[in-house]
Amino acid sequence: MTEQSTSQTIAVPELSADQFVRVGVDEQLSEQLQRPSISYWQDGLRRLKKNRVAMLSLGLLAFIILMCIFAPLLYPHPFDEQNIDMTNQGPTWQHIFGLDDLGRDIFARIWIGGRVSLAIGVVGALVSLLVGVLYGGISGYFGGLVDDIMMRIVEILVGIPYMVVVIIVSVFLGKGMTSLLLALCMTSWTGLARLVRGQVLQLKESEYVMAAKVLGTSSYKIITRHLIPNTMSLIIINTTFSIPGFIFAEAFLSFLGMGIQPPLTSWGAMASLGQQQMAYYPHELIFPALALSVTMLAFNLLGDGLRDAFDPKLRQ
Amino acid sequence: MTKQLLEVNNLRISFHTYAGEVQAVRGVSFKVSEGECMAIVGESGSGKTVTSKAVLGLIEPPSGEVKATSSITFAGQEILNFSDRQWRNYRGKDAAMIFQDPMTSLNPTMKIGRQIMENILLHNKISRQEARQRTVELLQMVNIPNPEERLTQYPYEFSGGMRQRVVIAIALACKPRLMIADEPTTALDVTIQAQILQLLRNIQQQEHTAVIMITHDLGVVAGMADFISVMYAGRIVEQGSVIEIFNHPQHPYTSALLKAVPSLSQPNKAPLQIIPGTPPDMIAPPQGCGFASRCQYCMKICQQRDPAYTRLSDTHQAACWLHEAQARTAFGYQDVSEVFNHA
Amino acid sequence: MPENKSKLVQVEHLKKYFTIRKKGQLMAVDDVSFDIYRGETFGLVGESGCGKTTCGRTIIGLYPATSGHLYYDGKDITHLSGAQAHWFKKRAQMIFQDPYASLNPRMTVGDIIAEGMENFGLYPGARPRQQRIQELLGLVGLNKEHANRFPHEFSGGQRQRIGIARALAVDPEFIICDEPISALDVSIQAQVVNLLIRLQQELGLTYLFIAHDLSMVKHISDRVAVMYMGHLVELAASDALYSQPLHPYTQALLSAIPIPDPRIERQKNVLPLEGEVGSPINCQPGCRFASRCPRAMARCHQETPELKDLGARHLVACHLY
Repeated sequence: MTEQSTSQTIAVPELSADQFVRVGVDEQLSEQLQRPSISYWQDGLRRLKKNRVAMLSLGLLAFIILMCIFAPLLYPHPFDEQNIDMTNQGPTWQHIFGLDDLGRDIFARIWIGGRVSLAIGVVGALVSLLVGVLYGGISGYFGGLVDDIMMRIVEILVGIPYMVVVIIVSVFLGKGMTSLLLALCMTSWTGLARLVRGQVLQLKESEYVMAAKVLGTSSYKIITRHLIPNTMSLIIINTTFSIPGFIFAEAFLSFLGMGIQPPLTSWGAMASLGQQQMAYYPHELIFPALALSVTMLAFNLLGDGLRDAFDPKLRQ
Repeated sequence: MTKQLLEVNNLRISFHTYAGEVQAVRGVSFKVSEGECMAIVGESGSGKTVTSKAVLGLIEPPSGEVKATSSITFAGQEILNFSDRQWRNYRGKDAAMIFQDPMTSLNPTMKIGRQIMENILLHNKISRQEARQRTVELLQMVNIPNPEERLTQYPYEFSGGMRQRVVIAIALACKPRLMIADEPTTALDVTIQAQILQLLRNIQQQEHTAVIMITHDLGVVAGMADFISVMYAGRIVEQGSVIEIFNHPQHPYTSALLKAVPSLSQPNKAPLQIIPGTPPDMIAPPQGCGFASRCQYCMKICQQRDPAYTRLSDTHQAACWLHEAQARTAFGYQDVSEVFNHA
Repeated sequence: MPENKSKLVQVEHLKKYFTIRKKGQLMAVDDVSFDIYRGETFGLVGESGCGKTTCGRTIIGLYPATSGHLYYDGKDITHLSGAQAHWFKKRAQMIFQDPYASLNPRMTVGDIIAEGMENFGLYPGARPRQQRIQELLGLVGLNKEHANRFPHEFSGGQRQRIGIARALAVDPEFIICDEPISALDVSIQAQVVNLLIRLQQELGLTYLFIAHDLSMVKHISDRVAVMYMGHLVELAASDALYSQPLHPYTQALLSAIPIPDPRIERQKNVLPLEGEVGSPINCQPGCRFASRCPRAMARCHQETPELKDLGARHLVACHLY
């Protein structure tokens, strides 16, 4: 039937008789695994490392974070030092990014403002992660009436615009970072809660969770050992995507004057000031806006990379 | 004498993964003539699905690679050099595929009438009215009751067996000369499996379509196949007519596969003859015969060198060192089946 | 089965209904009764959607029963909680169908097997537990190095054996095998079946073997029950059921098994069984097979046939007898 066919016997001269000794099956050998052992996280990290855009974003974020920590300590001009005689000066060797309308060094202010922006992004994301995972996990795991009630509450919260919450909270606590964070956290965890609930509902029906129930595993252990580790990748991806959302929300509110109050600053507050001088002194808007966009872009690209590396639906 | 339709020669396919190169198919050759049913039998990972995908040009670079030594000719034409347009023309019109899972191979948001008509209109210059007429005929052909009504329904309104019938109707839409059925009944119940097998058999005879049937269950192809290729670890280890394979298996793997299914006459709870172990990971294909690590007749030579094919009849050949004259003398047998029946 | 064997599991008029929004009740298991004797393998066969998996899951307590009673070793296990549930779970275990979905992908094989031991405080201490894990891996034919690997590194047959080792870890006496071989290759199916038979002999286990593959069920089971749309239609010793099937559905099911012999297979007449299994939603009285049955009578559409003993403990629910 094919070209490889030969005659009745195979004529290969150098075969010796001792090669025709029966050796049989070695069970141990036939069950051996050839591939190197690799855990889920190792495999995901390997994919992430191969993703150049994501690694570049990660590097950029590391740079921005380090600068926020160390630049204000090493840079000769403090962020609140005023040079009244040099207001609105453009970039020079002495003041790399120039000065603002009150004669303050923009380079110094960028990193101080970055501290506030990043802190709000990270703290906000962490709080919503904690609340969202717990709330969604409980709602999904217990299901039934508990789930119905908890999800209706979420729907009501989603219906309230966060601007209203911010205004109400700042009426009671005054404007500033605390009330800003509080207001943002109160409404932002709902998305993650819904996501986690959906995942848990699905995983709860999986055979390995059933197996755990049959083995007498407690609800607590089922949640912590089976359900959470298997939703972890989605949680991490989602959190990475939510950080730029927080940073932007803070910038937006500060831009409107409802967020960070002077002398403290943030990228949004700086952009708000710069916007007033935009026509004559564009550098006062460009630098904070640039810092804001580069950071948001980096977080989004890193999130994309994480999703490609860890999302079970995208893996083969 | 039937006309030859498809010839696969020395097909080699590799996949590139993080751990290295997986040699999924390692030199597979076979021929299919018009109106003939060829079954490819093997377990998961043996390369049978990959082989069939290559026949339809579905091996996607960069991870999948069809090696340059390979050749697949369809009606005398080399198809591995096809352009994208030629592939599109060939798929569906010349060769069609029936997938394993009828739940996922239909578009859930499209009425089934449109799914079938689309395929007809894509490859034929006919009016929508004629295409509709043809669609109704096709649904009748696959024994779907009330075809006129069924045209406007969505896949979720069909049961598993009915969906598989629709999938078959789509495959038949352009009267392909070659139909590849990849485990068409694995996801179905026994009574539905019997219905679908019967249907495939009837269609093959009526339409004179060549069929490549892929399965891991020899029982399924006994009533349908003319020829069988048994695949193991990326190679065809035995090839022959259906009678030769079932009644005179000449490779230990084929023989063991036949014995692994309990017959209804066998005493209960007696240990079944098993094939121990697990198939080799093709990331590190064994040096000698692929089956050596699980073969109870394994000899030293089997672990060292890959056996060549021994031709046993015009249609029958097997790749096993037991056919070597020296093995016959060493163990004192005439026919290899003596060895299998002894154990 | 000899009379002197004791009943381990008793299922009495078990019903499990699921409420479907707007549609009503899905009668997945509808008035099913049978006993499983200590040390035997009881086969439960039927096509997908017949309720066999639901039946198994209700017995093991994954679903609460709608009505009816379950007894294990004489004790009522229909609604268990607390210490009694713990007691039952130590004795009854389950092997699942899908070797890919039944192992948590984030846990190592060793941790998966150890889970049950931890819950019951068996083999306390790291050393003895490690030893027990290796012992179990050996018992199911895997290497002891495999304890540190992750499930995705194994083939389907190997994973199914890990699932068996997990169930064995708590030293159960009763195991429900829910289609343990249907997702495996033919060459691997025999390995798993042989392993199950060997374990039964060595450890004195009792099995409820749920499957749709009739030839394997016959091979492994002492007695076999056939289910159709939530009803038990026939129950007999496995040899009797296969040599003399009485219910028209059992007959059709048996004739549909492909025979691995081309000469027989080509001449075989498959008993014509039209149509497909429906869903048992809001069923009216009457035999549920009547609409597909070639020998249906007027009575079959009105009256639900009772399961009756036709002698030699061959039970059938059909108006023909």
